[in-house]
Amino acid sequence: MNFYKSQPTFMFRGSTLQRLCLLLCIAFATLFTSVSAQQRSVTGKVTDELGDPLPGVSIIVDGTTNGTLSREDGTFSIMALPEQTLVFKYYGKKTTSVLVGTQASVNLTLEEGLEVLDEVVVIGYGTVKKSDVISSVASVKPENMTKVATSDIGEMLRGKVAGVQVTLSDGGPGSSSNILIRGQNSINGGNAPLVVVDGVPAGNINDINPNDIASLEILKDAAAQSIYGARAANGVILITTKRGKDGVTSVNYNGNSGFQNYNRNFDIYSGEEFAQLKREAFRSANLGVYPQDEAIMSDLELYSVQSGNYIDWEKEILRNGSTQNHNVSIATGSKNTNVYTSVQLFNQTGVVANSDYNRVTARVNLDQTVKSWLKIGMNTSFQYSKENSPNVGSVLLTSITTSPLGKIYNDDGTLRYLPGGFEENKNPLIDINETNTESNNRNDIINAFLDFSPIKGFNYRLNLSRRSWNGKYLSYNTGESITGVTNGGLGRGNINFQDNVEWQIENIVSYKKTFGSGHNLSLTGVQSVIESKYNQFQIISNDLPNDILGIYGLESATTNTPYIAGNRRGLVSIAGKAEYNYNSRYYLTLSTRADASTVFGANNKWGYFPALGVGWNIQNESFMQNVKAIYNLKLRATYGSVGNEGIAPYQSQSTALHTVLTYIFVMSSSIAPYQSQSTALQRDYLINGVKVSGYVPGDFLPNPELRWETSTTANLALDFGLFENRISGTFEVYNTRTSDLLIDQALNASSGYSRKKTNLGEVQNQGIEVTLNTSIIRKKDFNFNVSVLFTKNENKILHLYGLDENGDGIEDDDIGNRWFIGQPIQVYYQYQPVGIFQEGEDIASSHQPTAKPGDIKLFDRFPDDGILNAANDRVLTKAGPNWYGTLSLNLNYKFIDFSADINTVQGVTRYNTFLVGYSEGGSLRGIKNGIKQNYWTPENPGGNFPRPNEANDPNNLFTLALQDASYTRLQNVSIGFSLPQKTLTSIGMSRLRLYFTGSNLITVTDYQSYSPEKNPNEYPEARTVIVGLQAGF
Amino acid sequence: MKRNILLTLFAFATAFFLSSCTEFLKETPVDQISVDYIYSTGDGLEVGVNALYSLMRTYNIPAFEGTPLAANVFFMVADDLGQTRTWHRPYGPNNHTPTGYPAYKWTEGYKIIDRCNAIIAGSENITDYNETLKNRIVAQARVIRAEIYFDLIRMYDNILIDVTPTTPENINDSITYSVANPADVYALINGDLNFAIENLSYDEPYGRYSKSVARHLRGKSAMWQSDWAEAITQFDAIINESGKALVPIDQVFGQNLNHKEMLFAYTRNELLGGNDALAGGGGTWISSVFVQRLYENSSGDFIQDPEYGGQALAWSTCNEYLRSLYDKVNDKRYTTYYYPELYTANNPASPRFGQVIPLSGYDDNLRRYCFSLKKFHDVTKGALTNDSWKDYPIIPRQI
Repeated sequence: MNFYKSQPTFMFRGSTLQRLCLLLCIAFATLFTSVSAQQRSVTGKVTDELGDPLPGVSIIVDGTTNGTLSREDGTFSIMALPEQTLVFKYYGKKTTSVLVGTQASVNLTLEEGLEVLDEVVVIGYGTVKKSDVISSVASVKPENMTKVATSDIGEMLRGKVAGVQVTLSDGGPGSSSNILIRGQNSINGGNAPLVVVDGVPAGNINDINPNDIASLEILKDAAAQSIYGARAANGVILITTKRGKDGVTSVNYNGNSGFQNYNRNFDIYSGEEFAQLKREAFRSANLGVYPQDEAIMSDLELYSVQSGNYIDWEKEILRNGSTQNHNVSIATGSKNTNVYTSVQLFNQTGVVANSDYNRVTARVNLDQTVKSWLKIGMNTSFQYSKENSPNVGSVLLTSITTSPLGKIYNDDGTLRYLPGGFEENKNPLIDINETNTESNNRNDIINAFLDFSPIKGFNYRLNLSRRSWNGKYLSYNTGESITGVTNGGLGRGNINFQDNVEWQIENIVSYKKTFGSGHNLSLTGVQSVIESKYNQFQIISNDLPNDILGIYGLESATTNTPYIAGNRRGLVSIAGKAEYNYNSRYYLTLSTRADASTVFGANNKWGYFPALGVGWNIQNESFMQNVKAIYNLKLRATYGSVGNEGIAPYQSQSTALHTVLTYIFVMSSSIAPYQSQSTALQRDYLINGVKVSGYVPGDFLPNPELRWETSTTANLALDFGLFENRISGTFEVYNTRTSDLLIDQALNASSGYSRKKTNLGEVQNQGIEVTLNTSIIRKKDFNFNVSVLFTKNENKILHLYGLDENGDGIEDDDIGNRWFIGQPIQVYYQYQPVGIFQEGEDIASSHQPTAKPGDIKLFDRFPDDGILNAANDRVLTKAGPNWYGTLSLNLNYKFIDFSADINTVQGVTRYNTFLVGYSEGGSLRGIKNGIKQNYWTPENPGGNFPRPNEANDPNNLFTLALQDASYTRLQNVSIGFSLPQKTLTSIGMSRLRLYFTGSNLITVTDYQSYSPEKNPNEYPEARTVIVGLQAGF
Repeated sequence: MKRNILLTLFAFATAFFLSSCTEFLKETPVDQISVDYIYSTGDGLEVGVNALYSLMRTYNIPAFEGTPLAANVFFMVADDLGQTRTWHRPYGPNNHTPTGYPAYKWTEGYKIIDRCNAIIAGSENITDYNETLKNRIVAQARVIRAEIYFDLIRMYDNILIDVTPTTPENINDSITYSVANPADVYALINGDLNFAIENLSYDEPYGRYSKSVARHLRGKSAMWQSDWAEAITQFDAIINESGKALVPIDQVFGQNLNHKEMLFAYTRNELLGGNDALAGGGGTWISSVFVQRLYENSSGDFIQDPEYGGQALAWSTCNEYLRSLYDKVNDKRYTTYYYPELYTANNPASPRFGQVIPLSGYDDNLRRYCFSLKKFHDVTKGALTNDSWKDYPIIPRQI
């Protein structure tokens, strides 16, 4: 039965709710809109060098927030005093200032500009001009992000910034990514960056609507990060959302729709091939003699073999998915009040049948000027998502591994429980229909702030926020599901409610002053408190007598087992920053932050993270004024330290309550609570039929001395722009040393504890990053840009436990954990296959004397010793990557725009369990289907996989699992067609663009999977093709 | 301006008041109890001992598949009476190593010993608790410690003695690992069991260690030390004092193990379980491991039926040598503890339904037809699952 269809649904399925949301937005927007006009009006027109009107030019009265945009015909009107200056800004044109004076109208031609250096960049607790940035801060243009056909902001960042490596976390509906900034610093601590949205730490980068992003900055070096102290060691991503503008009302729509599928680069055994594999496997187990088919196959399997009717499970299980993404935003403002509102609806139907994902995100950003010295504002964001998926985490697995022999249906048309008659291959279609998990997630942020500026140059900001996350998971298997059938026709269900609330209060003071001739000083002080509380309630219900009420009938279950958990964590911080420059030539920045966290030992609560930066803007020296070829030249160097308080939550010894959970919840600061003190696991027992409560310490020994992990980075960079900025870019080198690593130290098993979270060791990441932008063609109607990003990061363990037990003068490795001094954190260390033993070969004299022909032959480092020796014969392989890079093309020709991104990641090795695992069909036993390999038989001595055997997995099969996972991918191709400005003006619009985008279209890799970053049982990134429309009024 | 400055000062004061941080930074677990509570209070000792039973249940008869089951089956079949078809392969070169399948019995054994040590050491500092109750709790911890040491020395011969609980303070202390003298190990075992014999009664509830259990272990320990007189003393005491008595052979390992012959069994209950951390525990697969998959025979004569063991695994089986040791006609153990050689077709769709299938009617395939063990048979086990919640007998023990 399809029980979930009978459940009520609360998602925005129909158009009524969509319209309601839109109306709400408009209501919010118009509520605060009132035009005020009390000063003298200045009018005029802005044109380009050819005399064509320029619409959308930002015109601001300097030193105020009073501003407007030029209209479609280039004209504008703004209120200003004669002594004030108007500043005209337009992307790609030179910023120009004009004194109002006595003139009643200002007509202006904006020249072709190279204004990237005047862009404002958001840094921690402030903004600076891009030309004044001396730390390592990378900006990503929002329009380059949203053109990628995905709902995942992490995926949008892939290949956009040197030093930022994005890998797929989960490619399923509502996908997510792992973002690694400048390599892996931590062994057991977290490696996820801190994400801050409008000054509020976000729970997840995807909590916000990508269309709301006004700017996104990635802080890569310690000088930029240190103001975020203990949470910044893995980098910081600063997101600023859009706001309303004075005197301008704009309505924008961006929507697209498309389809998705997967592209695999492997074959599985066909029906005939699988039958033959089965015969070979039984032959090996039968002393080399083929048994009769009748002796090894069931009647159902024989039917397939004799009739030629085989099952194509992939065809039965997978389908084309679809996506829809609609975004409406309204920005409006008056002299004292600005409002930005938006709503995004995202819908996805999964590639797996009966899976879908819906998400709505809404935002209202409000700014209100109360007095000239007092401003208040509020940012609110609301997001709700709902996902339906069958409870088959293994659905992709079963599409590969289920035997193609047998019948899908019983004679009465119902699904057959065991299609081939053997219990190893249950019918995967049953659970796709009979199980479901409904995941509901709600994120909301309320952020109120107050700016108080009693003295010129001085500002005090009170920043208050409350962020909450609420997850509700309803999971149900009917009595007819696989678990139901095995359980005598009884269903089971699981309700899991989790919530997290995080409060932040920040006091931020800043003071800016210019002294004498060109001494510019800026001071910032921050005091901050964050508190986060988490609660969970879960009930697991087994043996439901019927499915009438589905998940809402759990009360009738024979057993209901509750799990209850909760914790609290907090962070107290004080930070300060001083920035000085002399005439934008010489720069000095000092910053520091002190953080205290609840999660560390009582004696080690506080951590201190200072940083220093110096810069020399050579271009602004007088001796450079006549060097026309050089447009920009800046040298900068920084040094400082930041902290890491994190390992992934709920992995500690204290998490007996969570062993049944499959949902991962990411907190912004992420060490699991209670690791510095002793807590006990609940282990109950049954005495005389009566339940008794039991508690016992778990496998982790607590560590009351636990403290911060500290990363210290030296960064050296050269920014350059040549030939009127036609060639520009940055060369950057860095060296980060992370010490006091939060490590799960292995303890001697005889101690009664297996591990202890402790601080020890040191890891180094050093690397080079190159960003190169070229403007090959730069004409009015024709622009062609090519950008190249290159990153090489070398990761190395410098120290571990400081032990030298064999006295050879070299620090000992931790072989059990595969941690080796002088090697990267991620390595493989195992025997290396060098071929297959052949008949007639002198196997008895080899170091594998008991092997048989068809077994895997392993590398023998010391052939004379005659033994397979774990200490000598294993081989170390780096997981990589060696380097990664991106080539981006951008082309604009009249009303056509085109862009393409090609990513490459080289030198990656991954362990592909599908080459070797029994459950993954890799173990050549003729029981489960799998990735097709050229296996050895006496008749096929050239096979590079061992001889199949029904009884057991081949010896040392796991050694074949390492596979090159380097890849090159056409990540994104987009082509757009826009209506010309004149046409738009005539129909009262500011923008109308039709676009087509394809993502993940082609991937070249040797890795046998759907994705080089995922094994075949995990959701890969989908190949997506969309068509979309952007409209502005 | 003056007002503005006052406002600023007020805001700062508010902020710092809110962040008075010593209390704020204190971490107090809300959903877990502290280890200190277990080892410094009488009530704590009691929940600590209850948890030891739960750990021991998993140690000796774990739920579901996995390393603990593999380690236990390893010791069950690594002799000349069993054979293994697949999966754990105890004789495989990669498995029969100290870090292979048996490792769990060593590492988990020492873990439970450490938790026993913590209760025994902690009890010495508790003075405000009824002495009799305290000694009863400590006696149980000492039986468990003695039992594990007794198992370890018989499994590994060369073992370590450790009677000091591990703490964050002593984990880094220098330790010299040296093989314990067997006499010292037996002295420790005897001391623990003697204490238990003194402080436990014969009438402990089903599922809890009793004086009978302590005497039984003490007697076995004496036999391993060739102290036959002591063994006789202990066993006689059980026979004469405990009230225990023999039951008919079909009840010894029957469905209800709470009978007069059973000195100790690990208890399970599906209604109070789900996994081994819960009172009722998780479902064990032991009743499926040693049983053929009759229903897979290509003849189609059989379907899964609890009477024939239902869903089964046949990962390991008894061998023909074992079968040859029995008098097949007169030995009731043979007819009670093993499935028969011939079966009645139970598939209604088979033309031979209801007929006894002769030997020629079974596939020559160990997985589908073999000498199968019925000692763990659970009449309540579902036809299509390996999970069984039947109690597990320890004394007397099946394998």
